[in-house]
Amino acid sequence: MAGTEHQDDLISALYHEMFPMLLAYARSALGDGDMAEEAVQETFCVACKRQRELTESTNPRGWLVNTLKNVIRQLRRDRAREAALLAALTAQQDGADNPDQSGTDPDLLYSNLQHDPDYLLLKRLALDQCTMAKLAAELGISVEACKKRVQRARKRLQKRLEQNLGESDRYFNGKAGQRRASKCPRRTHPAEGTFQRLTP
Amino acid sequence: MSKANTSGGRDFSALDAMTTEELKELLRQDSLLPEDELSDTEKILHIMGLLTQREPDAVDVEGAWQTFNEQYRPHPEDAEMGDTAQTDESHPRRRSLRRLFRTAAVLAAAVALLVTGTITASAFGYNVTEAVSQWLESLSGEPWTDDLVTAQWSGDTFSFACEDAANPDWVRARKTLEHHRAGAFVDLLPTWMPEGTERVDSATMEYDIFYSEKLFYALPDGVEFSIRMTVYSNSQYISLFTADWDGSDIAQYDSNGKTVYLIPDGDSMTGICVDDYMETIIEGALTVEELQNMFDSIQWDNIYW
Repeated sequence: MAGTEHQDDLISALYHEMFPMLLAYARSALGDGDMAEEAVQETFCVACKRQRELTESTNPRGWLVNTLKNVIRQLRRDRAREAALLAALTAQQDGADNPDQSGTDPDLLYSNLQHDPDYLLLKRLALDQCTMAKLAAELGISVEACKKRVQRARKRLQKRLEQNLGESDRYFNGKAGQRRASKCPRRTHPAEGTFQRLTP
Repeated sequence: MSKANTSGGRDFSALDAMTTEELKELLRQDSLLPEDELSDTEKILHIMGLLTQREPDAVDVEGAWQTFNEQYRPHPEDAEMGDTAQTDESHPRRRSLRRLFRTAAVLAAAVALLVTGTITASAFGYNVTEAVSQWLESLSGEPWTDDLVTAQWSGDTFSFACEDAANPDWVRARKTLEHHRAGAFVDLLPTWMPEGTERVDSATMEYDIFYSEKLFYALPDGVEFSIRMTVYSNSQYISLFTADWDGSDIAQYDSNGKTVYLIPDGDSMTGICVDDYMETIIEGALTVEELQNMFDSIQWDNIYW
């Protein structure tokens, strides 16, 4: 228990020392919005989850900086992927070959998507640039629960997009893709030791 | 101010002379470094310290600490759980062509919007072009700008090109791509296959940046497997669509000078060999020995360079 308290003290001390500096970094990278603060908060989340690693690090401040960089990288990647996913879905719904409708109210044009809760969830994050904390507050759930909900929404939308991409689906599975999934016999793999033998 | 001039015996006085905006730009550039490129942590910490000194706007640390404890702090049982934010170099990142093509498919549709639906994009009040560029950049670790990307949408065919004409590799790779597009990969298929192997199907996929052929095979006992061979028009695309191969134990061995990665995936086994512009993947309910025999029988000299 004493160890846990010591680790908590370490997190607290590092938080109070490093928060302004990490925020300066995050603001330089992400702008002055709430996203920067969220990146720093997320950094300390990782620190809590990896306390042992942090404690054993010879340079905890450097560890935090590197972790913040990774958080920012992941944040950018997630938001950009979500934006691209939403863009792909709207393009798909548009038929992608019907530019004549470009003057139509997008809310009418994309009425199906506009009422899809998964779409709306990702839209708040990727297009409205809402933070996870704000979104969690809007939904009345914890940040952690919100992350999981977003993750599930992303998966469902991704699946929806892929289902409509018939040609790529054929590429993944072949003509007999559906049959293959259910009827393909399973061959027993050699023991793990055989597999490990190959590892240098 | 003299306190800020040195750190750990290093002289950072040049940084002190920079403007705040210049320092912020250094941090921004640092945040855009590829994952495998380490930054100068001491220097970055020094810049962060300088900025905090120069912009002592009241940062409510106590308020943030309270928010952290109330909203963000994970439960104790979450401690030491996997987290993607901290790179763990003991688990190498591997390519998944399945993910590659899913990504490519999403990308195709996404960029299609840039071509055909920009009004919609702007209606969201969001710069989708920038978002896609950022996405590409985060995947490739290279800057992506509009002048490097061209996209075309014709009927149901989408194509895009990201070309650096100044890169001499481009011409060579382009020739390779054209060669294999014309002649498929027949010369590069394994000459050894499990007894009774029969080809049952094939499919191709191509964009400007790659050509890929996937061949489906069946064995007499009903086991099916596939061979996918992809050639890229630029080596940077090999790493463009990288993705984690989640939770798998990866083994590797040397096959005629090429490194082959063997990845168990549930009831299936996947072997991957990446070589400059070429990626070969064999997957199915095969044994390690069968995979090895197939990879070992590939005549790599037949690749057109």
